[in-house]
Amino acid sequence: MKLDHMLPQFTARSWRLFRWGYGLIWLICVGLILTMEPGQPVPTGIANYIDLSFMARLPIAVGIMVLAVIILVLYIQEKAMRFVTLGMMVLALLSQTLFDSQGAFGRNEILSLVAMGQFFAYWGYPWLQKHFPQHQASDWAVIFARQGMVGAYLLAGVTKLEVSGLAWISDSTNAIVQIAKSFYQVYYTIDAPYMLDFVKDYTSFWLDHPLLLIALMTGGLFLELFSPLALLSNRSARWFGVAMLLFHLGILFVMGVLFIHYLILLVVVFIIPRIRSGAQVKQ
Amino acid sequence: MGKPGKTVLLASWFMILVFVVSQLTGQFYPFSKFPMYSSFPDHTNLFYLTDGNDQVLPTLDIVGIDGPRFKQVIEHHAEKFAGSQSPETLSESARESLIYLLQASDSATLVKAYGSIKVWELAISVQADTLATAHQQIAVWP
Repeated sequence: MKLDHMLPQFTARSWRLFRWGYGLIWLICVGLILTMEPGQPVPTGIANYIDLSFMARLPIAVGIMVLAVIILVLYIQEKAMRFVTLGMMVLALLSQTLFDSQGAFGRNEILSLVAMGQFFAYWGYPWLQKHFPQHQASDWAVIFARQGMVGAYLLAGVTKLEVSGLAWISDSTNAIVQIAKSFYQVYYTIDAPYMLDFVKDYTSFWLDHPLLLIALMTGGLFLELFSPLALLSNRSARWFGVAMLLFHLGILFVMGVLFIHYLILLVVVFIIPRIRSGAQVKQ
Repeated sequence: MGKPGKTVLLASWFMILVFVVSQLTGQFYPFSKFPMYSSFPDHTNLFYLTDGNDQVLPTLDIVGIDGPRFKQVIEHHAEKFAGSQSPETLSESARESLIYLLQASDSATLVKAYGSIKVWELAISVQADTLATAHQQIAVWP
């Protein structure tokens, strides 16, 4: 049985774009420790066991950012990748745990999962090379990064069914209250009274078109539940990336909720990577 | 294990690891069950600020964070330190969070001009195919 298409090999240009795209979004997210928004400390994850607040103190935060820039330069130049991916994973874990421990979640989990996937690719390469000699470490980095993101999307879909069952689909007309909340939040955040009329008009539209809301939400749920299909081939990964990108843009349009790092990571991890010519796989 | 077996395993193992560990740990960064919008009740709420005369104040200017983050801070604080999000614990958490954020956000001068700051809860629900809202004061400072 030929299953080689499940383990694609990528062009050097794709991998370079991947490193630039991921590296920059990683640096921006780690940089959140410099501009830490105020919050009330509510430790999460490893911050329950280790006080990470020292990282946000100015001299240490600046030192961490200098280290992060050095790591980024090495990553983009593809030097010392075993230690660079280790550094990226550790810094992403620590900085984002600290960020999430300020009382609100930044929803940056996939940033660290992608770093973790690359870490496993480079540290597991000696073993992987024995069994798949035609693959480079960078091929595994993309393959495992995709798996990390798919795992996150699959979890989101399964959790919906665990919590609400199939009633999630019919209940999704109640998303109208979430839509209203999103736009009311804008009003109260910046005191923008014009939003009040907008909320009324906009929610009226969705109250009049409940089936449209159900269709959009159900489409998203199916994308999440069937996300493992993205791992079948590079072509399916690219289709998944485009579909999920459109879904996120739909959520932005309907609910005003944007996770910009999800959009960038979908482009970098799923859409950009291309099969290199001569690779012994079918696209 | 033959090559097809290894191929399938390597094409999915990290996804499976992320899935299983997240199911076991729940929210433990970077693992999570990603519960956002996992249910759609017919009601929700948010928190906002007014001055002593009940005039809306921009949350971002007063406590340095936006509305969604302000809501999360109050709810996570209530959940973590009081173990629930009952009206009483939310009210207590709102007051504690407000005091903490006012100190942290360097807005003391601005706040003095308003005399007092109130935290309100806006409840949003769908009733008979119409959107209904209800406002309730839940905390006040000082």
